[in-house]
Amino acid sequence: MKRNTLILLALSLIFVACRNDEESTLCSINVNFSLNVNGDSLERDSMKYVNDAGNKYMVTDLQMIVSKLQMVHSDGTLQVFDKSVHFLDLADTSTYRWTIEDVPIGIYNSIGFVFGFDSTMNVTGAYPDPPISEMIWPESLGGGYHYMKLNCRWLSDKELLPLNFHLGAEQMIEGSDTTVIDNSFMVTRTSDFEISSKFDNVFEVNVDINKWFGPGNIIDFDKIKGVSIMESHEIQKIARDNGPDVFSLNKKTVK
Amino acid sequence: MSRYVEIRIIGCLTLLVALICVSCGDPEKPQTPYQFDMPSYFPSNLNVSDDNPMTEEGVRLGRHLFYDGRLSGRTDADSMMCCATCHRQECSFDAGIDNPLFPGGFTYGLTGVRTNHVPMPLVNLVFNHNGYTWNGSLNRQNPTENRRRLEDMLWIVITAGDELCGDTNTVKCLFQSLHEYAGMFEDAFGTPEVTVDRMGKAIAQFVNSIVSCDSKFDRYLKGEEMLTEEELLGYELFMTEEGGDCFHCHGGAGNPLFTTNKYYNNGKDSVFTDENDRYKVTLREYDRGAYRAPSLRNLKYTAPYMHDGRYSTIDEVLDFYNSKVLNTPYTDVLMHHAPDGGVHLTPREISAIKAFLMTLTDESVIISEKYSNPR
Repeated sequence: MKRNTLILLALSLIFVACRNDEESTLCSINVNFSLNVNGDSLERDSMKYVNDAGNKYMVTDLQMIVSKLQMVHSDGTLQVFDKSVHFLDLADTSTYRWTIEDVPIGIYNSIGFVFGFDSTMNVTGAYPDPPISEMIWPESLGGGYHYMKLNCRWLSDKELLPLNFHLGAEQMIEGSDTTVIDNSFMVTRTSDFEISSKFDNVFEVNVDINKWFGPGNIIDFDKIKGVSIMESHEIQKIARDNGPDVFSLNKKTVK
Repeated sequence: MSRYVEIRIIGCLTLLVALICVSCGDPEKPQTPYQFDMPSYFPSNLNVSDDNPMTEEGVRLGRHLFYDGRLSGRTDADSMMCCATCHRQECSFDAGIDNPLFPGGFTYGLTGVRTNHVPMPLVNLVFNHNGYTWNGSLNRQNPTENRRRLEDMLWIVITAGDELCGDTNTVKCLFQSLHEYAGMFEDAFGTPEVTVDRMGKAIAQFVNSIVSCDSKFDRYLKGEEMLTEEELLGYELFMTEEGGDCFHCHGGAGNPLFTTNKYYNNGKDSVFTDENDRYKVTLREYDRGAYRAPSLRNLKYTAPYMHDGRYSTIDEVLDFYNSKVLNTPYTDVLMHHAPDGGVHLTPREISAIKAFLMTLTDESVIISEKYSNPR
């Protein structure tokens, strides 16, 4: 036993000591999220934000899911990290960074991700562990998960009212026909960039909360007072249309 | 992964194995890893400490300690108290409204000091990563080192004036003198030496072993049993914003724990006098009057309800959410019916929600021998 152990030890030392100078063909990228309102860093519980409809509000909680990071090589081939999922929580700054491993080095001309889950990933029970399990979305609305919970308090005639701006899939039932609208969308940046192991590959996503409420399609909190946003096809559609303007994705080169 | 990285990893693993082989002297008595038996839709990420892996031997020792009244450090019959005094199996490890020692489920420590809050049921804690107790004061971010983990609970309970009001050294010496425990400590920790740290670890292992996953609703999710029309209506109301809107705080099919293990002000009060609410932990102004959303499993057994046990029946709870919610600046925004005073469901709908809640009853926790008093 001892003789064999010593042989094992010697072999292991050889393995550990060996260096391989071949450059790695894979590296990691970091996608850093910054949450703001009209360019100012988002402060939780601070009643200082005003949307395009003139509603004054504060943000108490924000949780969001993004997924399926994908990039297009300069030769046109699509690289999809189809199991990549990230949960972002305003209350936890450690979630402001999304790291994707094993990204092939090379020249690309497009990068993007899905806000929420597309229909292939948005399946009830697919994520049994928190925090994503806490984002469950009712079966009657199509099941799966909340893409976003944006919880606010806003001032209406001096009264403080709650707003649950919760986004996810919809389920439309007409007779015996059931249609699920997944309401997810791509956030994309199209321009040439290099992924290399010689420097840090960092992308920045600026998330402007106010743009959920306008200016493309204005959401006036007074007009949706008391409405269940989760169950409103109209509001889900407006959010789906406004959503791409909320996010801006840029590459930052760090050498 | 690059070839270079692969080679390094293989080398390090080989080195580790070799070092283990060389360093091993006489083999210690191995512990048996504890195996959970639960459905695939349950969380797989368990809150088990690296320095306290769950073993059959650890769980067994913890179960004995959990039910041993000498945890108080005393041996007189009227001075004995342990975890099971306030966390009774027949009440899903809650105190129970019919507690023979604590009428109404309002618990007191050995010296007659009432506890801050009513006890919480000790079920499915192994899935909880978000702190313990009604305000989450026992959490990994606590600046006090021995108030961070479930393993630390024993030290707190022994020394708290509103619980065992004891002395840890006395408890340790007492259990060291009990020959029946020497073998169990040896089996669990490789040594018969008793420490409060090891006692806390063993009890944490036992508590973590208590899992509820066999209610009627679980069997429905597995396709083994049907729900009635009323129960299905109740579930739908539970899961919709225009219904009861219970799921945002209390989970559902995709979150079978039936709690998010988070903290909310649910609009019970407009004046907050409790010094042990969530604000005490976070110092966040909007956490005043906030408490953990408990699991809704086994409500049949876990009355009274809320952090202060103010409601004796589920009907009272449902009545509160239906029309007695207070809309204050601190009421959680998820209570989006608060401006209207509540969800305002019809009596039929309330009855349906109650019927659904009863499908979360899991008798196996109440009767299972593996959770029962071993004496």
